Amino acid sequence: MYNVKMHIILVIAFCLGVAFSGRSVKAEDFDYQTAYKDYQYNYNLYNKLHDEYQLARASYMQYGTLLSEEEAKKVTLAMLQARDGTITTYLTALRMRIKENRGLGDSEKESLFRRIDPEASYFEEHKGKLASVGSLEDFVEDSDEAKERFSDSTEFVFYTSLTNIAIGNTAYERKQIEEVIANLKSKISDIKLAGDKDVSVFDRFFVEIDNKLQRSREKEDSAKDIIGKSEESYRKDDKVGYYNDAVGSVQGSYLYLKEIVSYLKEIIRIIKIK
Amino acid sequence: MNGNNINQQTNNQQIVKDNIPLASQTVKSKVINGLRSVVNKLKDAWLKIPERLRKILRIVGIVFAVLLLLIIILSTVLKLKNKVPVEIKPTPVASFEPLPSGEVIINPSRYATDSGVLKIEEDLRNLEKELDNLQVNETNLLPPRLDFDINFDK
Repeated sequence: MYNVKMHIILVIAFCLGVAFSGRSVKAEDFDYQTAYKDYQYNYNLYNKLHDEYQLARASYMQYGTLLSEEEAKKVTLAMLQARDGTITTYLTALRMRIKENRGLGDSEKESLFRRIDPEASYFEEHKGKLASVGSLEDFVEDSDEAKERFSDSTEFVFYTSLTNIAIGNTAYERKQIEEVIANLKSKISDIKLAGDKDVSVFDRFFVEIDNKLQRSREKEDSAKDIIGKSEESYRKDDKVGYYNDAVGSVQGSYLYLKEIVSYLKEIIRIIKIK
Repeated sequence: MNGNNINQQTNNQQIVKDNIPLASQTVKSKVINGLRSVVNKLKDAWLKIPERLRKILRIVGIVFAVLLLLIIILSTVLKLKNKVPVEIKPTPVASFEPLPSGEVIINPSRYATDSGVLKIEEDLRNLEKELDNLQVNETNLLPPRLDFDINFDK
């Protein structure tokens, strides 16, 4: 009788434990930071397994024994899975970064997701397929397949996403600056109406500020053009070069924004003195 | 020949030196004689004035001199009495408006403390901080370096 009671209490305690402590991560809890940690974990794992693969490969190449071959197969499989995992989690981190980016519009985000999602699905499937292959030659063949996909498509998605994230970052700051400009212009109109301060000098300031805003937008458009051209160019292999050029253009936009802020501060300073 | 010339020059210099005191004496005597003649003329004019009128003029002259002396003495005494001590004024300090931000504005306008202006300024300050911290290219999110050259070729 005592044993039955003890069993019932244990079962209830177990059920309560599952109900309260075993909370799974909800979809809304999954943000960029979580995705980035996932990616870092997978990348570290990949680096560790890649080191093991190099050792196992060297051992197999030197001795060629059945034991070294088995070890090489085991470690290569794990390394290839980790590589696919790294790509998938990296793409997810990019996706989340884009999702949380406040400077990109919904249509721009959707357009990027349409490119990211098929790549993530490909490497997810590729990872599942790896488990069923057997020989070292099969692993090499499978790795080459992934290499082709990575070079032809995935890498472009990486750099296009990164360029758009950079553009979104500056676009968001510009949007905020434009709000401040609107408020400041309204305040200056009030001062003009009050007629107790000469504000005519600010007209020239705002012409210059509008020019800089326009140039900032042009720099971002130019960055989009550069990264867009990278997929069609004969310099297809120089993806990093294209990316650097595109980000350089976004940096130009950023510098214009900084200049605008210093102009606005100057206007405030003049307003505050007699 | 040369010796004769030198002797003649020395003689000439001596003659000039001897004549300098004579010239100054004649100028002095001329001035003294001039003054003396003016005084004599005034004396003659004075003596020509009738005795009664001379007396009156003398009395008027003395009274005038005494009055002049009194005026000089009185003005000196009054000046000393009315001498006001110099007021030491502190150096004028420029007006300034300490703002909530701790910023000090010299010669502020009425908009230095305007809530609308301060709000815009605060927004700008935040924007500037955001821009300073913004990493345009997000270096921590650069693509991973992966090895795709997998082979077991001997």
